[in-house]
Order: sequence, then structure tokens, then C-alpha cells
Amino acid sequence: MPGRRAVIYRSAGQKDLANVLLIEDDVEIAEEIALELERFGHAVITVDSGTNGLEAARRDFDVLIVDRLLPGLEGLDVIKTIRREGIRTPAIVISALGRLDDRVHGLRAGGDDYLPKPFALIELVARLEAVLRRPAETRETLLRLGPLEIDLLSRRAARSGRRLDLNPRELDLLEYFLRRPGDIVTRSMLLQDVWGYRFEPRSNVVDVHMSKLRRKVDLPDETPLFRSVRGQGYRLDQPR
Amino acid sequence: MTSLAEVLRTTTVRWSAAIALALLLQSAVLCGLIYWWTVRHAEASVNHRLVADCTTFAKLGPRDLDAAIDGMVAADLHRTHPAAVFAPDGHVLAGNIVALPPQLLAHTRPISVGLIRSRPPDLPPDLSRAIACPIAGGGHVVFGVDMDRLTFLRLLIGRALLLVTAPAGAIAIVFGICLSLRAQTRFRVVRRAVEDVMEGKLQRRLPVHSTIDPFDRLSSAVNAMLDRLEEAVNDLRALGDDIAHELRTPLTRLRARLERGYQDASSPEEFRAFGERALQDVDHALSMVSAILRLREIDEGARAANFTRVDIARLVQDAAELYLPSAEMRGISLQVDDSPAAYCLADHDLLMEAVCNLIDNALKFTPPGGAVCCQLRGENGVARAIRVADTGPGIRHSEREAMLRRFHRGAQHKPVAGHGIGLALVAAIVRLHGFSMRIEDAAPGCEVMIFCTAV
Repeated sequence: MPGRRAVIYRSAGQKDLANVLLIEDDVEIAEEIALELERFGHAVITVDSGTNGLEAARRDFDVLIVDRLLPGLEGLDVIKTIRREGIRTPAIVISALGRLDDRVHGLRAGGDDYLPKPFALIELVARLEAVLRRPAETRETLLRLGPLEIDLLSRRAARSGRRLDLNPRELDLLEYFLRRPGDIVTRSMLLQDVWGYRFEPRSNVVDVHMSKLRRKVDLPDETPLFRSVRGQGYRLDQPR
Repeated sequence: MTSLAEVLRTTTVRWSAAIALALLLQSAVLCGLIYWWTVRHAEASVNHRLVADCTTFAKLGPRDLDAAIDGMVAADLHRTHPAAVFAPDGHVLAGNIVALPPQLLAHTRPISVGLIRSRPPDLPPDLSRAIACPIAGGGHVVFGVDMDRLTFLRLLIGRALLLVTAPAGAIAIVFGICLSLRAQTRFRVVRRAVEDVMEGKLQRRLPVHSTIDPFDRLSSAVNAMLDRLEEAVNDLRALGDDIAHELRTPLTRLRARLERGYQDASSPEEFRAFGERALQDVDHALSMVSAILRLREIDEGARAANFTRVDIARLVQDAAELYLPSAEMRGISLQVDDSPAAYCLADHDLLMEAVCNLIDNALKFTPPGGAVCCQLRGENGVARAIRVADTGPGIRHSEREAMLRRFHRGAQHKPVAGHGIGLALVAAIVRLHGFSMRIEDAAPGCEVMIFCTAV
């Protein structure tokens, strides 16, 4: 649909724009992905073949999104080639090949993350932001965001001086969000990174944990810090 | 139509020809050995007799010797055994040999030599086997055997053996042809069966006549492979049918919802509400596809390499911890027995997925106020069984096995949302570990046991 324009959801000043190279031969999927990323403030260049993708990937991008099955040159070959050339731009592989072997293969080829199709667009945005932020992971033990703070040594959390009565798992969840202020965090990211599980539960267990945590962090009369993102994930925002 | 040249080039004909040739060679070697052994034995027998005669006669006195030799020569009607007594100066004293061949004096064993007979005198020397032995007084006694007998014997044996070789060769050729035809017939049957399978008749099998014959054993192996293939194809076909059937429901709902939204929504907000519910339908369908793919992945054992020593007590507690808030929210008591560490060899992530599915299922079917209980049974630090019991409606005895198949949902479970894949997933993980599982009546409710011992 030519002429469609992204509605910008992200509030100004929250995050720098990322230059994204999207290598995807399916025009409609490429357009949807590009629109979604633009909604969140990223600039997207799209190419539709492996050979053009390889050429473009040698230029200065913050992150690459690469489909596996491409005309000309396979997506994984594009990543392997640029890695051999010493280009370290983070790359997310997207593919209809979603078995464990395929994922391992994709990561071994030099991909930083692997997202099997079909996926929710918000999942891709969240993974992209996680990949972009990865090198800047902080090792501080006192984390703060607006009125929220966690002392990781004493395992205590508070909001505006009000002590939060969190169990160990809720504390881990809150720490995960505090390390990613403003980032979208999906259920699968939480399950994988906080619990360390790599399967999808058949019910909304993560949502139930999140709902308990939110009730403790955001009291009814307080400005909510947690936000749900289109039913797929959550975001911890600093209040303006 | 296959030409004769092509038939001759086939492996079966070549092998049969090779076997026929080997049989011929075997006959030839056998005949050669018989010939060699018989001739050698005949010569040895002649030599032995010559030596015995010579030494016996040499011991006689001069008069007795001459008389004995003359008597012997007279009795030799066929003139095949020449003999004579020679004086020290070489002239004949008795017998029918005219002259003493000088080479005889150089040997103590019988040799082949030409002997000139006295009767009839005009004949050329006869080739004979002969020996000379010294006698008292300085002379020699000579005994011989006409070689014509031995030559005739050789000829006789040679002809007899040739006569045997011809039918043996014919038998070998006929045997080779039969062998070739039989092999070709069996290969033809196999080829036809394989062609049938290629055409899609997966139920076709190769004929098997015995359990010892290597060809039949190969056919049995191919049949077993075809059994597995047929099972896999049927499974795949059933999976396709199942997916099509199960997807029809959410897709119909999705279509109806979009249609209604398109016709009825009078404001962007209303349309958005329809859209959100449609998205939920799509997510539901997608999660079902993911679950099916996961089931396939586990069934194919793609993760079998991640087996390590896992503390099952800890695993059960962790799984329960994940579901504790969900249980609280539904007003269900989720109890976990505080068991000491108990280990078994397992894929941690997969077994966690299985236990989570069991707890998830138990919570789904337990009414508010009910209880779900997770237990580990172990002995001396070894995990024996995982038990998840609930106080829900239970599963009828007749349905318990079917519940382990994908998309099967018990009669009591129909009103509860789900794909009917949770227990199938657990069963697949249990199979992959080589464990076993059982669904029992918890009176009230249902209990599922996973036995952590390889079957």
C-alpha cells in the first residue's frame, strides 16, 4: 500500500533513532515491519535480495534484520560474509524455519537473535531494542528510574520511599525492567531471561506474575509506571 | 525390450557366469589332482616291484638265478617284463635283454631307459623302467617293465577325466543359467514392489520366504522401513487433517468477527474493539500452530542431546512457583511437597515444560476452592516419579489413553479453552526420555504420574 505512513507512538526524547537495514524479499511483510519500526522512531532501509542486502550491510547501520530465504544470496550467507569482513553490526534473523536446529544454525552463522515467523511485530521491536542495548548492560547494584529504586545487594525495592513488598521473582522482574527503561519487554523475553525457560506456556502465567508486580508498584492513586504494549508485552516508563 | 547384450551385462548374469566358471575350474583342478595322484601311484608301485624283484633275485646262486630268469622270461607271454643276467664282461648269461645299458649301473633306483630285446631282434629299443642289481661273482641282474603300460594308463585316466569334465561343465552352465534366472525373477518382483511404492501404494511389501536367507532378510528390513514410512506418512496426513480441522474453528470465528465489525462498527473505537478481538483469535490460531510444531520437534527427538543430571525436586518446585500466582488468582490451592534433592538423567527444559503443562492443565480443570498437588517420589536421592493431582472432574477411564493424543479433549473438558495438545506434549516428552506416564483417578479428580525410570 504505497503512501502509508507510520503513526509515531514513541514520545520524543525517549530514545535515539536506530538506522535499521531490513533485508526481506516479501514486499508486504517488509512494509509492515518497516511501518512498525518507524512507529517506534527507527529509520528503516529495505532491500529485497541477498546480494543487494550484502552490499547495503557494508554501510553504516545500527542493526540488520535479515530474512533467511532470499533471492540471490541466502540471509545466513549475508551475515557470514559480513562477519568474515569484520563487520559487527548486530543482526536479527527472521525466518519461517523455526525448529531448534534452524535457530542454532542461525545464531552460529553470526546472528544475534533469531525470530521464527509468524511473530507479533511488537516482539520484533522488543528484540531489536534488546539487541541494540546489549553492549551497554550496566553492572550497577543500585538501579533507579524516577521514583522507583532497587538495591540489589540488600534485595530491597521502593517507590518514592514506600517499601515494596516483593518476593524474589518479582524483584528479578522489576530489575529486568529497570535495566531496560522505556524498552518493550515481551512475555517470551521475560520467560527466557528471568525464568530461564525456553518454551511457551499454554496459558498467561507471565501476565499473572506481571499483574501482581504491577499492583504492588503502581497503587491506584499513583501514576502508572508500567504500561501494557498491545497485549504482547510491557514497558516501564519514567514518569514525565 | 531388453537386448541380449544388455541382459548379458546385468549383474545377475555376470555373477551366475562367474559361479559357473568357478564350478568348471573346480572340476578341472579336481581332475588334474586325480590324474597326478593316480599316475604317481602307478609309477611308485612299478618302482617298488622292480626294486623288490631285483634285490630278491640278486641273492640267488648263479645257476638258480639263470634258471629263474629264463623261467620268468618264458612265462612273460606279453613280453612286458624284460629281465636278464649279465656276466662281469657284459655278455648275456640268461634272459631276453641283449645289452646292459651303461647308465643303469650308475643308479641304484629304477630309471627310464631303452632296452634292446633278443626276441624279436630287429625291433628298436623299448622304453622301459629298469633297475640293475649286482650279483655274486661280479655280474648284474636287470629287471624292467615296459613303459607302454604306464603310457596307456596315463591315456586312460586322462580320457576318463575329460569325459567327466564335459558333463560337469554342462551342469555348471545350466546351474549358472538357473541361478541367473532365479535372481532376475526375485529382483523383478522387488523392482515391481518398489515401483508400486513410488506410485504411492505405500501398503505394498516385498515377499519374504525365510528368515535365514540374506535376500529375505534384506526384504524384511526394506518392509520394516516401509512400515515406518507408511506410519510417518499417515501420521503426517492425520496431522494435516487435524490442523485443517482445528484451524477451521478459529478461522470461522475470526471471519465472523471481522464481518460483523465491518458491518456493525459505527465508530473507530468500536472497530478497534472488533480488531482487538480478531487479533486474539489470530494469536490463538498461531499459538496452536506453534504447539503443533513443538510437538513435532519433540517427537523427532531433536533435543535428545541435552540430557544431564537434573534435580527433579527442584524442577517441580520451580514449575509450581511459576504457576503459584495463577493458582492464587483462581482461588486454587497449589501445594508442593518439600522433597529432598532427587536426581535423574533428563533434558531439564523439556521436563520442565512437561511438568508446567501438567500443572497448567490441572489448574484449568480445577474449580475455585479446589487444590492441585505436586509431589516428587524419590529414593536415596534418585527420582522415581512426579505426581500432579487435582480435584477437578477427572478423566474417564475409557478416555485416558486418547487424552495423550493431540487435539483430543475429554468430554468433561469441552467448556474449558485449550488446544487439546497439553497432555500430548507431555506424552511426547515422556516418550523422548524413555520414561512412562499414567493417568489415574485421584478420587476426586485426576492424577498424572510420570515415572522417571527408563522403560
